[in-house]
Amino acid sequence: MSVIVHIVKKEFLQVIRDRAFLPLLFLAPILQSMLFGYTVATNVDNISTAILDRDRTQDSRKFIESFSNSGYFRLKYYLQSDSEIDNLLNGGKVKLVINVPEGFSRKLKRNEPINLQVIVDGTDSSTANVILGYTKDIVQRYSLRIVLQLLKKAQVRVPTVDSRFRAWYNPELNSVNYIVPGIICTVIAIVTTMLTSAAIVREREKGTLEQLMVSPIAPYQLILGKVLPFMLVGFVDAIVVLLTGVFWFKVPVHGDIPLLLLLTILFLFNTLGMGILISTISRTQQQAMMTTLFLMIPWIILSGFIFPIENMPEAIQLITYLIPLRYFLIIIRGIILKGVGLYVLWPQVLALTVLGAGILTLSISRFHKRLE
Amino acid sequence: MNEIVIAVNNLTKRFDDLVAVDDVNLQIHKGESFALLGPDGSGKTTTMRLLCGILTPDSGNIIINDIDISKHAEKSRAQIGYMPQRFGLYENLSVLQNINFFSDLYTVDKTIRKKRIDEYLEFSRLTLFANRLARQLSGGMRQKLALICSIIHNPPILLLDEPTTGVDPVSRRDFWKILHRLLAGGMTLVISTPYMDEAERCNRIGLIHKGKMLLVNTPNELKKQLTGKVIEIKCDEPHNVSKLLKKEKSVISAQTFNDKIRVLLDEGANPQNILSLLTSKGMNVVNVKEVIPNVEDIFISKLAK
Repeated sequence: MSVIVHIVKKEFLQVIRDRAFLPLLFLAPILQSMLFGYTVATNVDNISTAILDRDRTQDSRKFIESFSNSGYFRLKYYLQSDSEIDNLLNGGKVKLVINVPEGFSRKLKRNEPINLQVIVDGTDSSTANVILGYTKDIVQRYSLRIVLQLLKKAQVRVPTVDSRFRAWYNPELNSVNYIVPGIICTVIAIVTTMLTSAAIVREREKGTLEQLMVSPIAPYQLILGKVLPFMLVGFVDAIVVLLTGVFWFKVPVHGDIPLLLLLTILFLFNTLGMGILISTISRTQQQAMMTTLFLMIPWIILSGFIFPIENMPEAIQLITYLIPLRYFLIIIRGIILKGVGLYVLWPQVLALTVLGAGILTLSISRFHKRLE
Repeated sequence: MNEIVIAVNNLTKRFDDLVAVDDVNLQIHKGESFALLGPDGSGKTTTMRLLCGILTPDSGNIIINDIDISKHAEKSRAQIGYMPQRFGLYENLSVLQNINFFSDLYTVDKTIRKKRIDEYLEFSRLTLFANRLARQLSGGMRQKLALICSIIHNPPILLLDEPTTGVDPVSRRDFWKILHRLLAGGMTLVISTPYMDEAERCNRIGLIHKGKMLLVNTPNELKKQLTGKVIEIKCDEPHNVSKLLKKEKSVISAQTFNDKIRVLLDEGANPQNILSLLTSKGMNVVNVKEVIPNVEDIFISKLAK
């Protein structure tokens, strides 16, 4: 046991000596939280909009007002002619153009159908979909109000269904709340896998592994001694990102923090195992880092961190079952946003345990073979 | 007779098709210095790695102080110090931190540790550099630090794999001073080296070539085993002379050093005949003399056969 402590101690001495490394360990997760927190925001509001009002009547202005009143749209340009539309959309200055046709008011009064032209920038399909949704909603409400008024005049009573939406777990549909738990997962996955693989490969590269092998230390002590410091680093990083989320992005935490931290350790067994595995197939530290990145990108993409797994082709969905990040993401979002516990998350915990045991067994047996 | 501390029996190690160590038998006595002498790629390093238990032999065994190391590798580890060709130091740790880490690994008792470290540092003249980082050390200092790290647990046996390759002559002398001190303290040394002069400093030499142990003996006995003669020829055109010599049947080898050629002759050959041959071919020979053979000559003569 004491031998493990000595290796851990040495590992920390080395980390402290590497001055450039230390801020990287703790500043990087904060920076990453900031980066993701602000940029991956999928909330769509402040949509830059251009209006081409060919009618120029009180009715058309009232109709346009219903857009500005919704809070989602920012009416930036009032156009005079069709020719301006191309320029604005090409230059990305607006995402949406609403073209109110001439005769809007007249047709309204005559109870004739009106064709409204709406042009949306479809480059980013998901944002375009959200914008179209808002637009349709506003237009439909507008026409429903007209219909209801007419019916009222005609003294006809019709039933209407109105819906009150409530988003559970994230009432304001704030995407940061959803993103921050994901950042915890990706940051600790990348940091711990990379550090572990690089630290083990460094011993081999520098020839110190040979010294350790001729010493009376057993292989399991060596692995534990090498891996424990990075487990601690991963753990601290998780807490740093969590605190950034809670205090900076005001992410509400509904669940049991000790349980979260406990399951973080379970996840770390998976990433540290991956680190050992990568170290057995890498000759140099650069190779280890490149391999880690190469592996982590599909991990992150397929984990459901940004792209929902349900939208992926079925064959790819099958692959995601092999990715520990997938399960930890569900666990961490479940605990932070929904406040659920083991009674809901046990399948994910089980999957992480099985995967972790598999990765560790494979990596340690490969590590033994490489010692030969 | 001295006690045998290392017994190597029919040791063989293959790497795919290459037989790196081929049926080697060897006995090393307590307190002696033994040189494993051979050119690059002769199997020295593989033999050393087998001795310290990093590699497992394909056949044969190694008994160190009555322990079969392929069966009980852990037990023998405290008995052995191993300094590989490229000793891995922790570059971003200081001299003292490196030594302390290895003391921790070998669980060197705290009460004797400080005294021992101080003593080794002083003897290797590293005391002033105790807090310097390993990566800031010169080649010679690194080598001494590596030596301290590998003997900090005071092992009865020390294995050194080409310890002075690439080290400047002054540091090399320093290094040997430390080795002699360790020998005086009763440690058994096994040193692999491609340098004849280094091998000659040892009590016994084992000549290894292509994985086979050709000869094992003391440097003096080895020299006696040389059946031929060694002559040194001083001449004007050493390059052409050596070309001529190599065509001659009685010449085993001819090596040029500056204006001299060291020639190894067959047992029956007469140096006078060689001289007359050269002059008949129009070469201007300044001087021919018979010299005392060294280990290198023996090695060459053995390889030639």
